[in-house]
Amino acid sequence: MRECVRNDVQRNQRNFLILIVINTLLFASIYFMSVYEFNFYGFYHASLPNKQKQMMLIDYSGKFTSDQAVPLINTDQQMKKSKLFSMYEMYDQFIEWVHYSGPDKFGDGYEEGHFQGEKSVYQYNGKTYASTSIKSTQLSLNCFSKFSLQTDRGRGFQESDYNLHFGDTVPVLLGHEFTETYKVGDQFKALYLFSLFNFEVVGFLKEDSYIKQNGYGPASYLDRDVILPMFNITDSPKNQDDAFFRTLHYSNKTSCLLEYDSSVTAKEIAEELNRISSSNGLPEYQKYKVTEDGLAQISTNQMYRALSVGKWLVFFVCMGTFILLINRQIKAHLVDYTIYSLFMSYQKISLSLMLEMTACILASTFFTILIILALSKSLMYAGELLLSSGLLIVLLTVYIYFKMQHVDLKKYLVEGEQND
Amino acid sequence: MIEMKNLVKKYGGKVVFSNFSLSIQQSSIVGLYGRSGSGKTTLLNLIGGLDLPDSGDILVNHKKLTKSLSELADYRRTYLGIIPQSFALLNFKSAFYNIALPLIGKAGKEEIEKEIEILSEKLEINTLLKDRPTELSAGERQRVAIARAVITKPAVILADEPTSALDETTQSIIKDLFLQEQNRGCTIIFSSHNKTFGEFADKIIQLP
Repeated sequence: MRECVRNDVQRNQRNFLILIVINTLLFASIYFMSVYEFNFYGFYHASLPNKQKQMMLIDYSGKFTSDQAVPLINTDQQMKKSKLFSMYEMYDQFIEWVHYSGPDKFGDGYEEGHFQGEKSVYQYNGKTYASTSIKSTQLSLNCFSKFSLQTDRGRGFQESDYNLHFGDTVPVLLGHEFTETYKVGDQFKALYLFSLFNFEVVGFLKEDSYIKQNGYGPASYLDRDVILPMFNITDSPKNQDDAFFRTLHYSNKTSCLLEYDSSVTAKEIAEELNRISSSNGLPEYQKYKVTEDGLAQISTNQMYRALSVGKWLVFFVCMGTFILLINRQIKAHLVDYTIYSLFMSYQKISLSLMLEMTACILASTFFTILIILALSKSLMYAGELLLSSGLLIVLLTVYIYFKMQHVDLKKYLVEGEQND
Repeated sequence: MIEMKNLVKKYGGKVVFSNFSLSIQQSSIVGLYGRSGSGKTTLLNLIGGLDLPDSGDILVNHKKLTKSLSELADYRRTYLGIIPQSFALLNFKSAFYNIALPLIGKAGKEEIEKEIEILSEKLEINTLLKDRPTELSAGERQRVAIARAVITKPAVILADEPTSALDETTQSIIKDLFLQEQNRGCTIIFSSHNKTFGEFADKIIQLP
């Protein structure tokens, strides 16, 4: 008996492992197909014989710990020195304005309907401030020419506004609508990334000033924003909190838009970025290819269409194979279920099938995450992957339960369907 | 004792049974004969609680067969040994496991091993116990299915074409096994196309 049971267990384990391997390959294919969609476009678009500038959006994907500050600062400096691309630093990190008394319309989340008003916010050193989240955008100096940003009062940013020491007053520009409430020379305190700064208004942007954070696409209007220089902190970190602030700030700084010439391929840019990040011990940045002129211009190209269709074809083949495999497994189990229900307890088989499916999906997800880590050294969308797996498990459980409630016992006894 | 009173069973527009009544005594062997589609399997399914009549009653030991699915499942596991036409074996399990299935959780390991040893020798499948059903011939699989039905010593055995894949020698082994079961007090109801197999039956019912 022991030998028979051992043989059965070995057969089951083999089938189970095969299902996990196939599922893992499918999950990983779907993941990479989805995540690298933009790069896929990019690698193709970079080969187009047009002379326009190319754009790539990059995102820091490493840890947010104080020991990452120096590697991030070095990465930022090396990126700036690269001859392959130009950096446009744009980030919309809100600030916590201390004792804010202006209108709510400047509040972060006001337009989306979730503005919180005044609340208590901690600084690193534990001190609490009554503050209000106000919309803010940090811009590098070259963004002003890129998006033709001009001031109509006061002055614009200068080179010197971008090199600060801790404790310096940070010059800010305000969006046009702030002119109703504030004036040049006004000062206020605010927490930026949990550090307290003194800010001084040096000017106001012209009405309807905007940027395009992806280099193209919908405009982000700045009329209700506090504009901060995406400054460099030139002195060394004094303590761990200070270093942590720099990690956050420089991760925002280096999550930016890159512009490069069409003579350079997206692959070359990606390799250059990987070289810089790895030389500083950082994981690869997430890279998204975007174009200043949008994708519409090249969508008439037959080759682009073919590639686009091919990508979705692979995606649907992967998804279809996964659904077929799972359905085959469930169908095979339904025959087993019928047999068990005639000769044994059927709750046992329905539970074991659900557990098997759950274990299979979780194991596949786990191995997919390992593959993602090995290949891209980052876990972007891992949360979404887990969430999708959870949803898949719930859907399969409902499906299995439904199928088992409606199984026709006599059908399998007469027809003798194969259950292997 | 199994009694069927005024059974009506239709599939779509086709009437299989119309006011059908039948009484089967305990410890008897009953053979159901008839053309394909005459209702042999349907009758076995109705007695086995695998299908429900449109009207009429089925009584087992004077107790009306319920329509509750869970009670029907209990009834099948307690009273019946079923030998399906398809054999209904777990193809990913060994022949041993398939035979042992109805006793798992009810009997100890040694008892199961002993019962299987006796039965498998009677049915001449003792050398095949480690094999999966897919590695067996049709006749061998049929004998595994018969062993599984008999192992619990049920009060009623329902056998749908139990000799369809068996040669004459093996058919006589099955006959002997059924007679032994009858002596134990078991009622056996089988369907067959094979008239010679039915010679040992106490009652033959010819379905139109």
